Amino acid sequence: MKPKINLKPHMHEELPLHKEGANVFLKIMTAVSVFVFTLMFSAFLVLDGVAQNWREGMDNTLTVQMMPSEEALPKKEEDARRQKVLAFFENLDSVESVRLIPDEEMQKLMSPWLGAKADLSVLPLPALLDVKLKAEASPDFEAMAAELAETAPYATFDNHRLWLGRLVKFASVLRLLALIVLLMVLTVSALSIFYAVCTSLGVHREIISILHIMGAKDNYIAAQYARRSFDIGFGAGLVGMLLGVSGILGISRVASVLNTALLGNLSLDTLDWFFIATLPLWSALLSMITAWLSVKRTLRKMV
Amino acid sequence: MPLQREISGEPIVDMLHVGLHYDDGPEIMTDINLSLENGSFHFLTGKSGAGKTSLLSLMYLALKPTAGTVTVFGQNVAFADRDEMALMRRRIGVVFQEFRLLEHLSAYDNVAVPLRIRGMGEKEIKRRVGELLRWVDLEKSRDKICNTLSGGEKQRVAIARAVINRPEILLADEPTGSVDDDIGGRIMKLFIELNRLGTTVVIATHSQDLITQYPYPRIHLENKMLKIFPAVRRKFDEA
Ligand SMILES: Nc1ncnc2c1ncn2[C@@H]1O[C@H](COP(=O)(O)OP(=O)(O)OP(=O)(O)O)[C@@H](O)[C@H]1O
Ligand SMILES: [Mg+2]
Repeated sequence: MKPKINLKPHMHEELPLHKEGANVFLKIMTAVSVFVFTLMFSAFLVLDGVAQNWREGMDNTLTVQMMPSEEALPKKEEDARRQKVLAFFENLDSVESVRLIPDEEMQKLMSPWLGAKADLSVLPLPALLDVKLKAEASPDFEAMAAELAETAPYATFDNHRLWLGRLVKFASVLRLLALIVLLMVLTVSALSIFYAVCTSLGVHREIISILHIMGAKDNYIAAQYARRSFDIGFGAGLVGMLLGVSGILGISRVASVLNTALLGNLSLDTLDWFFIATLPLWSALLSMITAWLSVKRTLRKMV
Repeated sequence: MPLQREISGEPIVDMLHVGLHYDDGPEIMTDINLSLENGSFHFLTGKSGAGKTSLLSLMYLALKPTAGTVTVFGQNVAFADRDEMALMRRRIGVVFQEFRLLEHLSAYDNVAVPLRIRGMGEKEIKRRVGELLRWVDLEKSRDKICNTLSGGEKQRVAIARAVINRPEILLADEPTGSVDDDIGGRIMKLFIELNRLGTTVVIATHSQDLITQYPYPRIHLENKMLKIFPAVRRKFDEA
């Protein structure tokens, strides 16, 4: 025999939850939350990708240049100045090796401009250090630069690294912000559901009392709230997700005119899209679980 | 066949030194002692405000006593957790004085509530509820929303809801208050029939007629105390 499918499951709903005024609020709140979640989630992923891109853009070497002093120093003292910077980098944890580029090499490097016969010692050329970083190191270049300025103000390293480092830092701050917004959205949604449930339980106190006297367990009542919350969470979540996706597409259209070389690949991958597509389901499940726990907790206090 | 089954053993409801007051209110009962035998049938009388509804509430576990112990089905109510209470309540049918129907639902759905709570299938529910609605003459009103029903119809829905699951204890608060004598008689017949099948019955009433008409003892509440009077009418007088 075929089981009869109940086409109107809310027809005999003992707690008239699908007709509650608070539902409009819950629906809007859920849709907005999922919308914001979708945007922030993709912002998080994109920023992650951008930061990654920039980090990879920084190769594993630093070039440090040391300006010669204004007044000509004896060779010994000039060497001491170089050794000081050399030691500075050798003592850093993130550094694998440091090499002072010898004068002969400098000569070779400069020969296209100065000619092979030029006497470099008479020119105030900077001395160069080749610093090789450890593969896994991601040092704080800002701090490094500040420290170096203190130890040896005449030495600097290429500030394009510094600049990229700042961008990476900026991206990770933005990413952290996106994460905080995500958590806030989740918290606010859960609290809204909790208070909506509390209010509703108060409004329906009489019905709940009748159901209890007839032998309903708290689970029976919680299940009705869970069902309602699942429905709202899914429906409104779907709307919010679709709005969010339109938002992403709109933004990426605008962003596509930006320099992709600078920002790298701004798109989300298939797995990310898949997760975004399942957001209504997550929203439904989270709403359902929140409502269930809220009812159980409140009823226990309600006697 | 005797109306009351001969039953020995533990009382189905046992109250020992029970006292009750609402929040900050005055004592409504002091040192009440009452044992209801399994399968017994009692009327419950007392002036308005004497505490009939309150005494019944203690029995259907909506209230806990503020003093003494209440034992139902052999279980001390004070020590039962929420789910145990729910299971005990399923064995008790209640007709409330003010009906307390779910006003937004149809007569049919109201009567079905106790069965749905137990997780019964819709097919079996349909059979049982249909049968009972016929019995209380509410077939025509089965799909009417409760707040459109008359007082007497509501009362019959309330009674049908209380007995739909053949409870072991039936507690009825003024169950014949809003119906005519004819229907009142049918309702009493239903209660007597349930009692014959083993249900312990307590009926709170103001009706002197009812008390004199049926051969059941009477619990009387007065001055926070309780007295039991034997049946006015003896059993062999029953036609
Ligand atoms: N929920 C409540 N909160 C506070 N006091 C209450 C409550 N319910 C009843 N009372 C008080 O308890 C006393 C007994 O009330 P109860 O309803 O038990 O009387 P009753 O015998 O059923 O009266 P009636 O015949 O009018 O139905 C009354 O004084 C009433 O005011
Ligand atoms: Mg009363």
